[in-house]
Amino acid sequence: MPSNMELRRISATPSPATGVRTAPTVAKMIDTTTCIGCKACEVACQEWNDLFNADIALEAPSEFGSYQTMPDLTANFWNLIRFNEHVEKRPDGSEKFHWLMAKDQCMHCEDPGCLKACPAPGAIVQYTNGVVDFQQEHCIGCEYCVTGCPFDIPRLSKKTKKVYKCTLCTDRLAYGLEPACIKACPTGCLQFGTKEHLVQIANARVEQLKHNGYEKAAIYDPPGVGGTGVIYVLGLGDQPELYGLPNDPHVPWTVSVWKHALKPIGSLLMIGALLGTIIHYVRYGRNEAPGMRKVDREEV
Amino acid sequence: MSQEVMTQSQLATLAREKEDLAVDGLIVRHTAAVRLTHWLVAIFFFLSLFTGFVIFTPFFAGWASVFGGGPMVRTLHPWFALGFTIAILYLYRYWKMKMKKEAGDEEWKDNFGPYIRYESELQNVGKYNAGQKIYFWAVFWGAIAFLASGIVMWFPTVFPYFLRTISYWLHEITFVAFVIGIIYHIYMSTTAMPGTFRAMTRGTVTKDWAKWHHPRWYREVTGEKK
Repeated sequence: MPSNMELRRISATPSPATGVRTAPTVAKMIDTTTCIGCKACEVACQEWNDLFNADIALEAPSEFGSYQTMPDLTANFWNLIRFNEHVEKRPDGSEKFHWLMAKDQCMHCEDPGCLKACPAPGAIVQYTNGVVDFQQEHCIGCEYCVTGCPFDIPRLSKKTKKVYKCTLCTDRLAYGLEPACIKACPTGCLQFGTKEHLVQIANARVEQLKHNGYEKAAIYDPPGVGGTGVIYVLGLGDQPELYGLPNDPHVPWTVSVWKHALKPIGSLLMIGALLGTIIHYVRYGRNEAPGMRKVDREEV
Repeated sequence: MSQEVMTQSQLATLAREKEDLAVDGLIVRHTAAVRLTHWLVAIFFFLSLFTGFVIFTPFFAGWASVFGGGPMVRTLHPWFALGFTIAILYLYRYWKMKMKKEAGDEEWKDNFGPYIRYESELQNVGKYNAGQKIYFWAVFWGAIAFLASGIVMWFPTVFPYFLRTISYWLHEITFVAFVIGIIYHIYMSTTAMPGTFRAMTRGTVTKDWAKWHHPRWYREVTGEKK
């Protein structure tokens, strides 16, 4: 971790995170309406993170009925343009085919479900700038984060038994550079900046789309996870599921109850049981058979 | 048996294969095979418990270093647990018939309050009292709950999402129940009831102990009327 990146949250760590310096929350904006599916961002991600290797060729089936590079994200493929196929039914009865391009990757939630679920101290951190990052050297490979993530992003590597995902190019941000995918985008549909600034840009773009006939255009910044560090401009904003995005994502309630109710209640019960034996012993002592010889008590 | 006093080694040889046998002032309570199985259960239980605690709460994350670090804990825990399950199955084989409900169990349950206050002097208590039987079956079904949820947690992405979340809850609740159970199991068999622990080491208990804690079993074994 570069020294100028401080921590806002640390997984499985009861003491406060270390960050004291304030930093503006950063974000990526993805304008799905101007994505042309060129996959330059995929290549840039693979190049910068040195992920390109023969494993990917092995993992990707040669044919799966899509123009997508891969059917799904993998432990060494963190950024996938999904070629979602959509048939629009027009009022005159005709049909029109659309590709609803969506850039699938870690959403860098303000309230990360992965971090909440993680039992390994320091394996998942959130920097003060909002980026959620996995620290593989602390990861134990339990995959709790996979269950905690409302977007189904983390992937376990078969080779290392650790989970991986988009780092939002933390190692570039630390030196004042934008993420590799942003740098590579030829249409400007990907933009990087402070979240505050990008929300303004996204809202302006939504207004423009509405004016151009996309009446349902909307920004995707789901409040259920406290907002995300990756925001989308969706042409069909009332149906995010068409883009493969959950309609109203939350940290799964089962994970919250598990971590915030079952664990503390269970811990208290276990401590209570231990205290119970002490109280019982002090109050009632030993149940000793009458006539037991002294030697019986000492023999084990 | 012989009227002569047996040596410790002769007694140990006898306690290896036969139980419910009165010799001098002692009664053989558990054969060597049962004791060994019980110790295997105990060893695998504690290995699973300590590795489990590392994942259960960050307050015990430091224990990971005993097992070679967090990733090793994640790797070893399911194997320890598998050892526990197999040992439990052997214990089940030995005890499933002996842990069946019998006359006197209801009476014991009705006297649970006096029992924990050491005020109960029930005479119709066999080799295992109703509480021991309930504990055995709770452990047996708990082990099955651990195994079922544990397999899902071992390979989580193979299973559908709802099974995963159910398993996390089930494993958690079973874990807490087991920890509470083991605390009282050890407390009652050592500190609270002197003379009990040797049943799991030497396999024998004193006649005084048997007469006091398991009077009907004592009568059955010795042939005494009262």
